[in-house]
Amino acid sequence: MKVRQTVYASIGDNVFDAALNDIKNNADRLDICSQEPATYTEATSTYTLGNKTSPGFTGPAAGDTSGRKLTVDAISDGSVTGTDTATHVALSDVSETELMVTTALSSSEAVTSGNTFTLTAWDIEIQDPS
Amino acid sequence: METIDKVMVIKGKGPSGQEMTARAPIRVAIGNPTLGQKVKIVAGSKVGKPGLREIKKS
Repeated sequence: MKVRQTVYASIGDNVFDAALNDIKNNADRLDICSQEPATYTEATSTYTLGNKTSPGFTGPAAGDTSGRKLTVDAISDGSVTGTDTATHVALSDVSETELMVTTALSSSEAVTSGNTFTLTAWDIEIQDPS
Repeated sequence: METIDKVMVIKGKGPSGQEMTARAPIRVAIGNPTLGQKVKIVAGSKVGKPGLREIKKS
């Protein structure tokens, strides 16, 4: 009788948490952008329409699907610094001039310089091996 | 939620030495698979899409 060998793999929570804590401990600027940035300069200068320094985080915690997640807390007092349509959000490490995370907004929003923006909470989730 | 995928190539040697190649939309591959074995992979990460609202200066 032939027995098929199965290989399982796993990644410990501490491994995921190390990555998520890197974001939590070092991402100190959130920008809303007119398109998805690919670099720190694009996120914080070329495409930025506003920012919030020292955004808050909750977690890491168990992921909604699997693995672990980090929640970026809701923002109520971001500063709009440009006038255009915002489509993306970026998290950056200012001291390392490093772009860490980007994502699209749930829907684009026209913004005007001088106003304030709010942002709902959102998750960054790293899933278990599947 | 948005899934981030990256294409990687997994290459391993089978029981009789033949090579196999698998292509899949994965981010990280674990292990050194041989023919007939199942391979566990990390499917990727998900990043949520926050909702933006502007408060106009009064």
